[in-house]
Amino acid sequence: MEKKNRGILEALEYVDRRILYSLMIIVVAVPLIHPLGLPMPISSFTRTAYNAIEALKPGEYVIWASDVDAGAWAECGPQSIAFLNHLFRIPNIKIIIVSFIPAGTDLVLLALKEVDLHDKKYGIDYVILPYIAGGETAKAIFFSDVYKVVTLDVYGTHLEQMSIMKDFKNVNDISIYTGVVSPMTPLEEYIRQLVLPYKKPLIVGVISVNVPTLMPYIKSGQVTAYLGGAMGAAEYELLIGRPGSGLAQADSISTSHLMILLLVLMGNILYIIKRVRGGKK
Amino acid sequence: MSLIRRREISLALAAIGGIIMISDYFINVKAIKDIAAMLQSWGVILAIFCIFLSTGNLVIYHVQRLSRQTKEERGWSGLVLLVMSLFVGTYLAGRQDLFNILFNAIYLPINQAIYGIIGFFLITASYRAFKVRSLEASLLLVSGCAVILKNAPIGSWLWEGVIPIGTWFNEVGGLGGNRGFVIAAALGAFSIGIRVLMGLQKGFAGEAGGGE
Repeated sequence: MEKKNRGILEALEYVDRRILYSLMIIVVAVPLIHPLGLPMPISSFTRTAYNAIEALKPGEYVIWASDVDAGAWAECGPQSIAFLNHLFRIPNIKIIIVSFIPAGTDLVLLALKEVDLHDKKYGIDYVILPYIAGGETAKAIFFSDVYKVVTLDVYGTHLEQMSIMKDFKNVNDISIYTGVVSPMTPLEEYIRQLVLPYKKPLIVGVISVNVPTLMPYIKSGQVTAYLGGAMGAAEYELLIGRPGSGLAQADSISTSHLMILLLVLMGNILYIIKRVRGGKK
Repeated sequence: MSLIRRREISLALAAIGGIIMISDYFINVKAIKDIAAMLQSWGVILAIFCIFLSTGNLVIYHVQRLSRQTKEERGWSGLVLLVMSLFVGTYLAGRQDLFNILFNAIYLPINQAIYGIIGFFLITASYRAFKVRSLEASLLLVSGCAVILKNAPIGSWLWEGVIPIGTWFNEVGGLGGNRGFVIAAALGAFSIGIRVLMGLQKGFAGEAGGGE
């Protein structure tokens, strides 16, 4: 009997990883097909981000940065769509979309296909600027004088010809700088080049593993608010009343997180049993 | 050694550039501000040239690698995709639909798949490595579980107390550690900056070891 128990323990401890991978696929896929609809608390940071954007007045300018690469799109995509849906429904604000990451412009064009533009007209209420190379240096120049680094929009039209650019010269003209930031863009670049010199509120969406690195800047007030991963997107979708892919992912996040916890628990129970019985591990 | 390849030239240029940019931050003199703005513009132009340089470098690297490999080992996919993207992105610049196919059907799913694979590693790691082997490991386990539960709606559904606990770990425990990291990194960047200004940091100028 003892030998048989030991055999089961060994089998459980060295379970084939393909079984675990299959379980993972199932627990992620099933809630996407059959949502559980678990109640979701909304974090104070998401609410702050929502309130700041909601408080924008007609005529005010906003810069929305798509500083994200395709790898982070699963989390930052729903954030982008939720952010942009909110921005586009606020009447008479001017939205300038920019990217300091090569894939950022293509990704924002992809996101805009799922955004309700309301009555906003391109070139009058919003404009999409092309990718600007140069990282932190490019940001510094862009914030001080837009025309020094970019003169055409993403479709090749001169910015001077657009009415949206008439009253916009540099970052002093904006009310909020917002967008999604992937790990490829260090957030410190924005703190150094935007928040400290121009004292502009910064609201960002980040992938969930980046949230701990963001906390020092949140607590110091240098970052006004943030959305953390797909959960942040789901919370924002709830606030703006437009369910999207963020909310669809929320249940999958719940089940996969629960599965990880159960596996941790099971692994530790096996480990403790082996130790009690005098095993090496 | 020719004058243009001398290491001292690179070190002097870096030091002069650094001094001008620091002066721009602390001194409000128009001439310095103009020179600093010009240097920043040069930085952007250099960054654009770097994109061309890196593309050329990638092509040379792949061609050399392919020439070394046997017929069976040869993998052309990287080079073919690079040339194809360049062709579609530049020569057929007006055909955005073609570029969209490359971007949406190849680049985006591959990138997301690579990122998604991490989840599978996490599953096996959580089962095999996340053990209560010591006091430190146990503390990590407890804090990790609290944060995992806090980050998923099911956590508060199971027990509402997990929210303040997870938030505490995130906003107090994690914050303290990250502040230490940020301050240490800033001090490191400061000391590297001083070394560049003094000509002691030589790694960027091509010297092995990076400096004295």
